[in-house]
Amino acid sequence: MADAQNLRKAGTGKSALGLIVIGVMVVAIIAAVLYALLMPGVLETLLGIAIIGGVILIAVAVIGAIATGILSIGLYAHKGEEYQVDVDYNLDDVESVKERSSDDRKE
Amino acid sequence: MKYTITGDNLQFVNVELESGEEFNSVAGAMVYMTGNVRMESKMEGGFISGLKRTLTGSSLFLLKYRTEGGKGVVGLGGKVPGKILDIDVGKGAWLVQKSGYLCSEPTVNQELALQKKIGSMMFGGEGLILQRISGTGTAFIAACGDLNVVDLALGQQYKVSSANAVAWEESVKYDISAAGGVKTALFGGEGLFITTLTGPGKIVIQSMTEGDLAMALYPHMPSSNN
Repeated sequence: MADAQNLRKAGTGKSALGLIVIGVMVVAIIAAVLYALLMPGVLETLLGIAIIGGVILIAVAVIGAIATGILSIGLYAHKGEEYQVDVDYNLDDVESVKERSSDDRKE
Repeated sequence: MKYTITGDNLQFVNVELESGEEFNSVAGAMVYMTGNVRMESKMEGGFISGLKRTLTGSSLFLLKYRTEGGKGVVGLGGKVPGKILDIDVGKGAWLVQKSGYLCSEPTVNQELALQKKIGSMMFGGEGLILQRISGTGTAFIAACGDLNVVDLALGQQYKVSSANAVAWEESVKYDISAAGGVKTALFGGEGLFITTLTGPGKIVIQSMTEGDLAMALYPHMPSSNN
């Protein structure tokens, strides 16, 4: 088996060290979050915040859906159905995207 | 820059880079490259530009490709079954649906653009945020399904199902219109509105959106019951 021609190698030792540092930092952050969660009362407080947040999100979603519905009916009435009359269109105007190359661009 | 777009419904864009030439792509788009090509991720334009790119469905970091002497080839692909289209932004800026930008020459700018009309934003199917592709050179956009391109003359209008408009030149007017009467609205499958694209300018339409694809696949997803 032959090697690739004119092969050179760029060092990635420092990058590997950087990856290890990032990995250690991620593990440290996860450990810190887990430690904080294990402290008394923290989980209960977070659960309460999550419930309140969930209720607010549902309320916002319901209000948003009602507002969108009202707006859509209003806009539907305002916009109307647009259509053109006495104009010609041609099937040849519709070009399908196939295989292409930069040489086609020059034509 | 020489390129070919090959394949049928899961296309490649194959780009030949001269020595010293650079090419950009979103993160995760690279499929293959020759041995003399190196890639480097860069937060092009700084952190704020990177964040704006993320909002448009692109990536925080862009990948830059260059060769280490001699010609090299890079192959890139989209993330869903669909087509890749080359657009010349030197002739005018394009607006592209979220996450449509795939790769480009480095002279092409990719920015965040917002829908200006609240009706188009809420019911046009493309949402609030679009990508604006400008500058000079060639950019490549990828979208689900098959793509049709139409060059609209001044005043010509195409009505397009919501979310099926992939890209359009900035000169094209993007708006919504009522889909029809109450029977059509309720039973036509298009909802209350359809998108209208009025020329002059080119428009790109897709046969299937990512949402359509997900909905088609959903019933066939394996579950714990089977």
